[in-house]
Amino acid sequence: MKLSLLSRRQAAAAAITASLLLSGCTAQDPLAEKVNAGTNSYIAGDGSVAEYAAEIRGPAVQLSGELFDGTTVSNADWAGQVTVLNVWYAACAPCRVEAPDLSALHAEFEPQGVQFYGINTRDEAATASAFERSFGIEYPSFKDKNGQILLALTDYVPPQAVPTTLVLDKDGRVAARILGIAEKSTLTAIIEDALAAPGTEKP
Amino acid sequence: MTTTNLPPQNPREDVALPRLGPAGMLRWAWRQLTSMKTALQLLLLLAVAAVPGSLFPQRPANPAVVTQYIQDNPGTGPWLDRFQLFDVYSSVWFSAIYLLLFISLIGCVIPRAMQHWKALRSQPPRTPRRLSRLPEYGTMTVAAGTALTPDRAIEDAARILRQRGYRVQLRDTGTDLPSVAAERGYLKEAGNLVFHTAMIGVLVSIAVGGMFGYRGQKLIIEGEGFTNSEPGYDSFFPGTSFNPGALVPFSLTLNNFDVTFDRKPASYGNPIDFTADMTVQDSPSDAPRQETLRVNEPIGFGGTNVYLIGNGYAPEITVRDGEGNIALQGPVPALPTDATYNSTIVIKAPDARPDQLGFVGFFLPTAMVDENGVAFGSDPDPYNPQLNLNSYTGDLGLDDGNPVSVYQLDTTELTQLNGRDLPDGGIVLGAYQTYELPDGKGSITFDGLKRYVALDIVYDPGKAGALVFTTLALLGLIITLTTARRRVWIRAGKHEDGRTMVEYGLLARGEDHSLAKEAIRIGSALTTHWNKAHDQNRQATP
Amino acid sequence: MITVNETLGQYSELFMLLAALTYTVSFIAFAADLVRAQKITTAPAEPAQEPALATTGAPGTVEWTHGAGAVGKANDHHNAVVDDAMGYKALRRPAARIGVAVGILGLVVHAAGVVTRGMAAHRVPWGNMYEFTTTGAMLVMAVFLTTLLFRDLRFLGTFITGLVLVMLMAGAIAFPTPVAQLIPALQSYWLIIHVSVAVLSAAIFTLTFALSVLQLAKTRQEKRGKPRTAGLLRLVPSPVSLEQLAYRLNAVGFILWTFTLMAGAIWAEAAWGRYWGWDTKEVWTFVIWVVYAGYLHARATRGWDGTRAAWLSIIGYLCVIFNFAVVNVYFPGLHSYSGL
Repeated sequence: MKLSLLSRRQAAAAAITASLLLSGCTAQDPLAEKVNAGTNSYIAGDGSVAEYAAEIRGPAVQLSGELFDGTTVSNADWAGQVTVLNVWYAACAPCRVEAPDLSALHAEFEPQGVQFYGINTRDEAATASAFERSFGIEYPSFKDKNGQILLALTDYVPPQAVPTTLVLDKDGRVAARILGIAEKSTLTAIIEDALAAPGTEKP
Repeated sequence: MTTTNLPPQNPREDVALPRLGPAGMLRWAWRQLTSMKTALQLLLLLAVAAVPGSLFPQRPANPAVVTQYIQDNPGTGPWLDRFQLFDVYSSVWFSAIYLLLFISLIGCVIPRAMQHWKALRSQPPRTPRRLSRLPEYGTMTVAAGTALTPDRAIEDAARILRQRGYRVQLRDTGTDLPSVAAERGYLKEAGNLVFHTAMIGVLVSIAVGGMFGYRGQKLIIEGEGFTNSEPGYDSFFPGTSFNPGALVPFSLTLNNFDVTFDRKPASYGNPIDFTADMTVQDSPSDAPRQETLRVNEPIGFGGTNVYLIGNGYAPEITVRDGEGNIALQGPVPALPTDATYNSTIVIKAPDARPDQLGFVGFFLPTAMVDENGVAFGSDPDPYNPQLNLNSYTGDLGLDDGNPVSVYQLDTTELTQLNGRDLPDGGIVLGAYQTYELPDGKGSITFDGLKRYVALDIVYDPGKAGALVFTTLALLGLIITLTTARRRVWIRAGKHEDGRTMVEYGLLARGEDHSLAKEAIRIGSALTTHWNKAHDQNRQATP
Repeated sequence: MITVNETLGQYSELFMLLAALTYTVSFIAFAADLVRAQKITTAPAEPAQEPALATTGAPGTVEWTHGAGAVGKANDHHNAVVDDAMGYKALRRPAARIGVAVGILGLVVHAAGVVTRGMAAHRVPWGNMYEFTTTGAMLVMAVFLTTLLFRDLRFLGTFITGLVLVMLMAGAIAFPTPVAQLIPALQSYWLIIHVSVAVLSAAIFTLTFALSVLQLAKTRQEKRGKPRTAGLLRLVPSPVSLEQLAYRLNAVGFILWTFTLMAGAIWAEAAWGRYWGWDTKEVWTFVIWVVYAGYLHARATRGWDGTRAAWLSIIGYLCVIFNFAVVNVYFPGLHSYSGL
């Protein structure tokens, strides 16, 4: 008996048989199809966008974490500013697709005070900076291999995929969530909306 | 004219089957489905239908093997797939069989339960006129002068039957031929109903788990941690009605992973202990605590359990690119392929410039070289860790946005730099060694070695229900198979010469192989009782 | 740190060998009994003593007659040595007596072998294929000898001792495994519960398999119009009585197998995080359970009792054998604990 990953994978997916058992005669859901295709990796997200109207937004996001360069950043650092949080890691294929757009949007909106932060879930510093070099990313990223920042975010709007992009309004509340690749035009519109709205709290 | 040309008879008799309206058809179909014979046939069909799932690789368990199987058998593979033989337990036909079986079961259980409810509240049936027709029958003659009246005899019999667990009813007392009707073993039917109802409960519990539960995998390297949120998982399988709120916000860190291998010559290299030393937190606000995770000993976080499913080595790698920058740094998990932990490894450096770099090969914990110069692993412990790699350059396929497994690299579109058959040969890296890639494409360094654990994290809200219902099923089964449902009738009368005649008959309902024994026991209890009573009588009145 | 006692392990192997030799003697004796029985003649004039026909109380007070009612079952077949309640006529069967006595001796030696194996490894002696086989063989023998206390099943002696011999030989030749510590996956108290009950129910199914095979053979013999008293089946009771005993044993076996399934599911939940996953071993355990469930239902279904039910009992047992011998060894899966 070897406890290899092979048996791990077997055991893993075997368990979902129970759920498939009952949906046996219905159409297969996308997840089951993905499992069937053999690409049992993370859930990539389908690019679905959820925007939250100002009056239904939850409380201001509060978190604190360490960037790859060692500085500690918390929500106080973006108080009063529109903030974009992007969950990523270097080998994540959809992240690599949206990275040039994020880089461009950062260049476009930084002069207007919009803050960008990456939340890197898997990489060591050197690997992360190689990615940033590749795509000309200028904004910093949290080193979140242990998932503490993701966990802090689950109290507000949970990132359910990699990549996930959150846009916080000037009050630090989640204004929108994009699961999967962020379309440049969509994200631009969301950021502009957030910029246009007046903040209620003082910086 | 011959007899073949008979005049048309009554048209009603002309049709072979009586005409059934739609309602009649339905009733007929329902009666067929809920008949014992159909249930039995469905049961046997279910057994047969389950077998192919063990003969062919199954997608839910091992999708990669299925893909391989279809590739290897281009003729039969697609046909087997068409008949869902790689998804047996979710296939239309398997589902159809068990769903029909359960409908049949429900259609059987409900009327039987109602019938039993009635039986529980009613009295034992009337005494048959001719007891001698029953499977067990006997007579007793009590001598005259014992003062045993028929009524008295029946009362005695009723008492003895009651002591033996029968529900009794006296009938025709005061007449010439009083009798007692008795029945026992109502639990047999109750147990049967409990068993079958519990089966439905088990199925419902499985469904609940499949709808509201989730399961995910996470590989954690020593020194690293995990927090329970969807993006943190390597793979995540939510139930069909999964609510992200079901994710308990626990976190854990793998401090150390200890593996002990058997060093007895006869069983050399077998693992005998896996121990993961963890620091866990039930939620960000709770105090961290130390836990030990072992195989068979999961750690629980309020209904969500963490299981130690696998483990392996993660060599620490640094890849420098052609421009001298670090393109990749950190531990890369290798997948063990055998008990000696000889593992496959895939290293991708998509941010290497000018060209992306990829490596595919083996990791051997203790590398040895055989007489042909081929490296092989000889021990599961890392006495001489070694990487044997081929290297590639080109587009690794990550930039078009399609998720690919981190454990796979499609090399068909890539340019190979290193390999056994190439002039530069394959890359062989011992610990702390660096290899310079040809053409100044960069370098790779083997910096160190860590162990990792593969965890399954499972939340199954149907689990408790499944346990309760299977326990009930087992209890019901034990009761129904060990109790006997029996009816006993005893009738008494007075012979002309003054003797008291007693006759009894027994009837079993369902399987009962000790009915004869029971008859003997009742008979001897009565005999003993009346003998004793008579003796006492004689002594009392000398 | 647990250490394996290799000396004790060698004693265990010696005990197994001695047990096999003892069983061989028992096997020969039982075979001789069957052969010898062909020549037994029962005195035709001797009034058969019906055991359940008349029980009389104290003289004078209560006169009690118990007899079969109209359904009737006292079929006294001419020249038969056994009635339908599996009651044998008073026969001298010295060979069978020797078979049982030597069999008991063999079981004692066999048990010593199993126990020393467990002591050598400091754990229950059912952690790999060799141990499943040897412990399983012991239970088959134990179940058989225990059943002898209630029913005279000595006509099964040849089959049982023969099978136990085959199992011991298979263990020694096909699955030799040195005494060793358990791998982490098996380090659970569920090993003690789940596997022991599984092996016990398999032992019971072994017995019912034999009964069902003989039931079919006997039925066939009767259909062909051969006298019930002929040949090697002379000592074998009527199909009806075989069927009834098989049913009762199968019911017990089914309860134990249900428990095996349940305990296995609980263990699987603790080990792999799911109580059911259609692993190969789980599939076959399920198939066996369904077949025996079918058997129990068949007995209550018109047209399915008798011969058809016997076939289900036989198929069920063939599945047990397949699950044990083929699935363990050749099928990849999570239950790959054969130690081969």
